[in-house]
Amino acid sequence: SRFTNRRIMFLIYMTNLVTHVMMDEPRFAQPIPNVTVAVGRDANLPCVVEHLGGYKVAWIHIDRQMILTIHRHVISRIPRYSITYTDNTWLLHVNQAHQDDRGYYMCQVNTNPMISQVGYLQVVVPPNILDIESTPSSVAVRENQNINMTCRADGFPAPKIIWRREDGEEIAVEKKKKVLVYDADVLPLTKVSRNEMGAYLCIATNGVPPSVSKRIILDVEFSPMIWVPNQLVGAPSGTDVTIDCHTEAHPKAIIYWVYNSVMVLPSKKYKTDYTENSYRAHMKLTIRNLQYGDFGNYRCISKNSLGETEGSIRVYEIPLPSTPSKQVTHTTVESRENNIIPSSRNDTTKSLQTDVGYAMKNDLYPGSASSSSSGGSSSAASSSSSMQTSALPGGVAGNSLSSMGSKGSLAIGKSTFYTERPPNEYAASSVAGLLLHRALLFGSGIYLTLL
Amino acid sequence: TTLEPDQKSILTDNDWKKLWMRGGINGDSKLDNNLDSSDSPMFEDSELMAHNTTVQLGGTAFLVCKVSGVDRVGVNWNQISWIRRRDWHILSSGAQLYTNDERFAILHTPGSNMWTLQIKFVQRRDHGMYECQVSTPTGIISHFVNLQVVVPEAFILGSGELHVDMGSTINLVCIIEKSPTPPQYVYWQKNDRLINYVDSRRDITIETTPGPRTQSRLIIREPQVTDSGNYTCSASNTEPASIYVFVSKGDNMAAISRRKTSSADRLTHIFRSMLAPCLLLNTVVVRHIFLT
Repeated sequence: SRFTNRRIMFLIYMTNLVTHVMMDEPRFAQPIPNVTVAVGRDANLPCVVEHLGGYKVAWIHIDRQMILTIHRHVISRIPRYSITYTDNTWLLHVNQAHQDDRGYYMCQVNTNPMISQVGYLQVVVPPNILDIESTPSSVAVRENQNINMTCRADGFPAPKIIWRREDGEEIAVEKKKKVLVYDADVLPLTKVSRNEMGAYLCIATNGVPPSVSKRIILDVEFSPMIWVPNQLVGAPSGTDVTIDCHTEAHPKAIIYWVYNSVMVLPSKKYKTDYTENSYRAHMKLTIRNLQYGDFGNYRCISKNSLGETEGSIRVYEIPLPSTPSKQVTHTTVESRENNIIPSSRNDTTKSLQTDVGYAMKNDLYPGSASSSSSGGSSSAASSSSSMQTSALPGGVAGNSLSSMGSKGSLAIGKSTFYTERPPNEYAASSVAGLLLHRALLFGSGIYLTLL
Repeated sequence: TTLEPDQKSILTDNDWKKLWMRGGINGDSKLDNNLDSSDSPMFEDSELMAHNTTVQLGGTAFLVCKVSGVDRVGVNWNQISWIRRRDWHILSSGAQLYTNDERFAILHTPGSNMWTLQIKFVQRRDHGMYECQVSTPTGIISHFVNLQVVVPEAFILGSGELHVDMGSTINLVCIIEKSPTPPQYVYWQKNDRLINYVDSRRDITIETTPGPRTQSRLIIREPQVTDSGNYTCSASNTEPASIYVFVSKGDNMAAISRRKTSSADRLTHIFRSMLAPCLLLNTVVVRHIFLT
């Protein structure tokens, strides 16, 4: 019985001693935060250890399976790693981070058994459009054919690619469904029409600024076509008359006028005007001081590498109203009857002229509207240079970028790893230690009584 | 349409543990063979550079790491390290020890290119992969040693008891296996007294056949009732194995009485082994009450 009591007392004493020692063991005051850094930037990983005493702290890059630092020594010969120590914090510096630096980093203390914890360093890479794997900056396709425009980009995380037209128009995809923004690497255009000609923007984003974009100009080629608003134009001799044709063609067409199988050249008699908007053209021919030899059939012709077309306009003579007045002077008796007839004829002539003028105005109005609408795309198409620009057109895209920037920060859960021993959760204050010590003695007393 | 960045799945705790273990499997691929030997350190191809080392439980293990090119490039002492891959515990750096486990030591002669990791009193948990790591400007080169801890086992064929009649023959066979070197001698004891050197009895024969699976046979011809007892077989590096032999005249009552005695001894042992856990449990309860 005495021997048993001694053994019990010894065990209680040893337990108390071990507990006391544990309170002064090193422990991690806080977990290693997960850090996100852009490639080429600097990152810091803190490891906060309390009650370090004579123990040493070491850093390991687990993904590389490489020792980085032990105490204040930098073991790794990669010069981008360094270590600083201030106020219980062992700070691992990673300068000009590489993608290879991505991964878990372990901070360990050489207690026996050792304690350790890990944190994750995320190295992100801004997006970069791969020109070799993407559609060239300028591409041509025949009308009604299909074309796939491709845009590839790398980066970390993998970038998301969207397509939009530079002029803000909608894109026709997937059985002619119209969208303002198309989300995919490949933009499939089927049965391309001339309206889809223009500049397209491929924008790559992955939450890491800056986002990048590539400008691709799509040329839709088709043979010329001509539209004649007025195929019959009448005018009196001695006056000027203007006839016009509307034509569409791409590539750009050669347009000219032909009269009596002879090409009409600008001269004192003829004046030619051309107004071009993108693939549209408005050609005008003004014939001055109409004479007998000027009446007849005029042809407007449009010709490009894919084909040729023409339109025909007939110019005819309208008699002048001064002829009836001569007849009046010849016959006195007939002059009374003639006075009535010439008056009605004059009225008819005036009415015809008025109708012609009104029709001309109507034709001009939609033409000018079309001209102004396609003016923007024309100026856009004229700039042939293509480049990857970090600036995005339009305020909407900019706003999206700014909002995406805040969302882009990666949230990685905390990860802490201890080996063979749970963390010491007791408070380090001496008062608690003293109370615990007395409680143990009290407990031992109870045990002895029971025994 | 809101532009959402594509969230890549981040490794969870289990994932990085798998990555950890997978690193050990693919570790050999990290050995950079493209390094110019005149500019960077490399491991010498030597018989001493074993990739597998077997050590006996409780014995001493020596893991050798021999690096050439150290003096040539002026590599500092602290760039050759030993790491235990089980938990990525750093053991040493240069000739200095990092771990506080006193069973580890670094054997290195100043000026030599050999850093030997010595592990004394090897335990079962020391089993696993160890890495000798050298820092290079582009990263590391590694040499891996797989330490195998073997535990020699001794056991006697049959169940824990043997019943024979007077005039029959006691035939005990003891097997000793999983030993890195065959034991030179197998000891037989009866009731804690050695049998091997008792020359007074001519009817006891012991035959031992050393080998990867050592076999030792104890034969007692025409046993008497006094030959009953606890027979133990052991070698110098194993825990003993025991069997209880009952020699009877054919009287079953005596055998039953002896079994009762055996059971009583077992209960006593169980009671003693329960004492310490109860004591510790009491301490834990007290601490729990205090904390609550």
